[in-house]
Amino acid sequence: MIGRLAPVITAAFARHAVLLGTTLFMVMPFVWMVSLSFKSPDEFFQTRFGLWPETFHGIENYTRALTEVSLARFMANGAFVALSVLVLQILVAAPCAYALAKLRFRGSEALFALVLIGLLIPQEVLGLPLFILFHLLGLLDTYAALILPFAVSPFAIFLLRQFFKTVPDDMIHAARLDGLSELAIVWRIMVPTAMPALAAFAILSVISRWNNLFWPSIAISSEELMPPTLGIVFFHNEEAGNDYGPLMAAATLVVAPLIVAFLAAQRRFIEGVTMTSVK
Amino acid sequence: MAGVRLKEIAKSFGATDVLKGVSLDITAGGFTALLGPSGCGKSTLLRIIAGLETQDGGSVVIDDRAVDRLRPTARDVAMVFQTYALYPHMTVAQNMALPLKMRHMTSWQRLPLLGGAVFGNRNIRNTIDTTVREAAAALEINHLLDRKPSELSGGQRQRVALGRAMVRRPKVFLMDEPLSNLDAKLRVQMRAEIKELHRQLGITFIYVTHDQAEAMTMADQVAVMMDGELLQVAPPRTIYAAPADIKVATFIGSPQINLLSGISRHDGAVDVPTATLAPGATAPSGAKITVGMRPENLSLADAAGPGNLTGTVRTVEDLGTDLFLHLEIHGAADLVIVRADPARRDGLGHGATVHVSPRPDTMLLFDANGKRLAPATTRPNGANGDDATGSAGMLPGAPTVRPLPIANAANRPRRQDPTEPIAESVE
Ligand SMILES: Nc1ncnc2c1ncn2[C@@H]1O[C@H](COP(=O)(O)OP(=O)(O)OP(=O)(O)O)[C@@H](O)[C@H]1O
Ligand SMILES: [Mg+2]
Repeated sequence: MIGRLAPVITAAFARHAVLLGTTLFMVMPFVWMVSLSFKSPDEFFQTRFGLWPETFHGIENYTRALTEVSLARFMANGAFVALSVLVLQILVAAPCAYALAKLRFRGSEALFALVLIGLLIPQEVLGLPLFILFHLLGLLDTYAALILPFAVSPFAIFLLRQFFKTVPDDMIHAARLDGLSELAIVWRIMVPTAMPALAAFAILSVISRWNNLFWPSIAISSEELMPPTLGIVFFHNEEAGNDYGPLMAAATLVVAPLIVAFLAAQRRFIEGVTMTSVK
Repeated sequence: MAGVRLKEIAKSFGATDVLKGVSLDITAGGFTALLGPSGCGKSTLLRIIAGLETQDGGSVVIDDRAVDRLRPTARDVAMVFQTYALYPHMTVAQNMALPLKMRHMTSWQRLPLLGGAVFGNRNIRNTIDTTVREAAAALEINHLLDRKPSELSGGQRQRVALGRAMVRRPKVFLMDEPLSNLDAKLRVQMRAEIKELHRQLGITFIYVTHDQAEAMTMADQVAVMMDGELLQVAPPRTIYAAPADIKVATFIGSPQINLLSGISRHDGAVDVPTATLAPGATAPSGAKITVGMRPENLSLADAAGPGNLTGTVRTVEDLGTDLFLHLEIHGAADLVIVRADPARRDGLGHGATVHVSPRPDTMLLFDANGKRLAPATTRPNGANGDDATGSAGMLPGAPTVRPLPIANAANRPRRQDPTEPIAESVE
């Protein structure tokens, strides 16, 4: 018995060792960040390496992070922008995805090809054209500049279209007979059935908005409009100098909501991602 | 009440013609079954009636009004789908209420919370709730109203689908193979329930199926469809006893009808392998003819005779109620199946030689194109004269040389198979 099981156990052990190694590699910077946020400035440049602070300096660091710049304001900005973008993305993507998945019309193939091309274009490439466009529109340094460029998400269209494809035609037929208009079908039937996919998308979308530094650093100059990432950079430039403790405290505070949100939605997230890739 | 008339409906998907000019009259309040093999275009036709698909040619008339330009909702038809197509995120009650909400409430009133507080939808909501509860009670699913479709069995989902379709009292009820996902026992039970539902609602039912037993037991009119064409539209009994086409004859009936090819003689008899039959329909002398005989219209005879087929037993199927013998007839292309009394099983093993006499009134004659010749059943009894005596063993109580086994065969209780309507009518 044991002889038979041995290779299985060894394989499982090896698998877990590898996974553990990569996990440590990924988690280390976070742990280091949290650790630094509790340390005093003297400890930063010591040659001794330790995660646990010798003198607990957490309260000072976090107080400074919360008081010296308006971190709460940055985070509120970030939340407002991320949620507005998410709502707009779904408002635009769901009807598009429905049309591409379920309606027969001339040029639908070509339109879908355009969506795929849109998927391939990195955000950074669009930085300069968008900057000029928003300058001409006079919208630079407004919330609109932070929100509108992301309102149409080719990824959301693609993801929802793949999901909608799996909804049986008969269900749409039944809905039409029940008196639902095409838009009612999208919002009352298709979107609710695609909840797992939408939850996964929501997490990805919010994280990428929250963490984005590139576009806000181009489009925003007023402090009161800054999202958290830009706020931290601003903090760094204005205040910190060599004083990394409060900076790390601010960074920890900024990342915390994402981690909490992800842990809360983890199961749905995995459901959504696997369901779309399996089918 | 609304009748449905289809005029020359044509539809093709790309290069394939799925419907080739289908014309059909469906009486108001009737139960019409659309019967045909898989892929013959039944669902497509149903979707065209419902307005879910547009036809390339022809017209759909409901209640004397052409509805070709009307959207599905405006046609006032309801449909039950093969896969039930219930909304997975809604409870049974919400599934059944949705068509009523869409019909009777404005989009403002449908808003959750606000709709009730501001736009006074309380009364409508109550009426809808009552209607749903009544329908659920009629279908015996009232204890399931708060469940999601994923928490229901196949039969329960089926009932919910029926309920959702019937709550809004449509003019026409369309059903696309609603029973095909149920197990055999439940299917038989649901047949009776759907028939009863039809009687209660009194509206026009169009029922698509590839299962002949469903069509034959439930419908008062069967439209047999093959390759996008209607071959015959008639009551079930006629479809079985007097099929207009050899394709209909082979499609209906289980086991399949036996077909023997032969040549007609000048006196009206037909030469088939090992026998000369007197089918009683007239064909031009020397014409190539196919004779069709249903297994239950063949019976074992004691001796060879001019009107008796002679063959060798290849397979014996004993179903308890029936004994089916598969005979190899010298010169015939296919095995001939005979239904016999299981009590006669002794001595009918593999390789035994048996003689079989067809009941003359029941033989069907098809010409080279597969069309049936002069209907045999409308012919007055006894017109085939002497030849009939050649197979007298079939008739109940008729004198025979060895009475016992044959008398058994004739007197035993009739099969409870509803697909066999001709049995009583022949005597
Ligand atoms: N949207 C479509 N595009 C192309 N071909 C189609 C489409 N819908 C149906 N067909 C074809 O039309 C033919 C008839 O289809 P239909 O679904 O009406 O058959 P059916 O009689 O309902 O069969 P079944 O008993 O299997 O449901 C089939 O050959 C099918 O492949
Ligand atoms: Mg079908």
